[in-house]
Amino acid sequence: MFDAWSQWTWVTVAWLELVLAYGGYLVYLGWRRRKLLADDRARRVIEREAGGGP
Amino acid sequence: MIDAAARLRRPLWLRVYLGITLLLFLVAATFGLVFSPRDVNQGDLIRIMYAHVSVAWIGFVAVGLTAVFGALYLWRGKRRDDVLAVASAEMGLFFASLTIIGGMTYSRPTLNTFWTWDAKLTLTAIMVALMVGYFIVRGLVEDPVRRGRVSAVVAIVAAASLPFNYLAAEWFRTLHPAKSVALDGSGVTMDPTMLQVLLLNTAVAGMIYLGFMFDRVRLGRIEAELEAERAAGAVGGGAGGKEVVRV
Repeated sequence: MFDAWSQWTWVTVAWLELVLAYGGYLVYLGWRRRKLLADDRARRVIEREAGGGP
Repeated sequence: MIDAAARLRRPLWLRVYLGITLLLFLVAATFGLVFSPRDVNQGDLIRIMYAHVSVAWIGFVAVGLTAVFGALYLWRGKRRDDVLAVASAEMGLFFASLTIIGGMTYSRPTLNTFWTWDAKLTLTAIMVALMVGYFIVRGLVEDPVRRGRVSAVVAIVAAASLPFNYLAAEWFRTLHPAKSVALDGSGVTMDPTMLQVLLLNTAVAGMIYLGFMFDRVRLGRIEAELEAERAAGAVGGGAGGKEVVRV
């Protein structure tokens, strides 16, 4: 299968790996952020750190 | 009332920074894919080298900095150093894994194999395994201080493999090519245009590392604060203590 791949196919795959990995990490960071937001106690910590909470 | 969602959103400067980094990534990729000359032996496959080597170098830096932050935590005991170490460890694991995957993609068409257990590749695989171990250790230890200390030691062990990894292709007979750029200034056996494109891609990978670090540290600080609050039972009417958020 891979023997039939052209040089440019390999080049494209290699660069797509980078794009997918960087995009994937940003999605992961968004997931961590949403997880914090979904936590009431985390929200209170954030608001208190900002001087807006008890 | 301060809105927690607004506080958690990326600040404007970070969004601008990441936007500039994305633009520079596109520029660097264009240089690698379009303007770089073809290699006399590898042909167009040389364009994979810009993606693979830049990521590998930044992975080394990330693992090294994880050990530095870990050592600082061992020395000073400041939680901030542990948060930085965790963020950098995540980046180290991320870039090192990407190095292995990119290396396999580069190796198959040039060396006719995805993988071989030679010194360089094995050392890189061990480094990735140690970075996975770093997070396993953090998941197993409940006490935050002990967790920070034990994982710092794992990070230092992982970083200790870096010099051997760097020199492995010189010291041993490996399938991995010898380095074309010597850090000690003893020589560059690479076309000057290719070197410039490689350095540009490495600089962009470094900017991506920093951008991700900034974002991850912001979240890590809040998570660490939350964990401290839970441990003290000061948040949520003192019901906390059992639940622990790992950072």
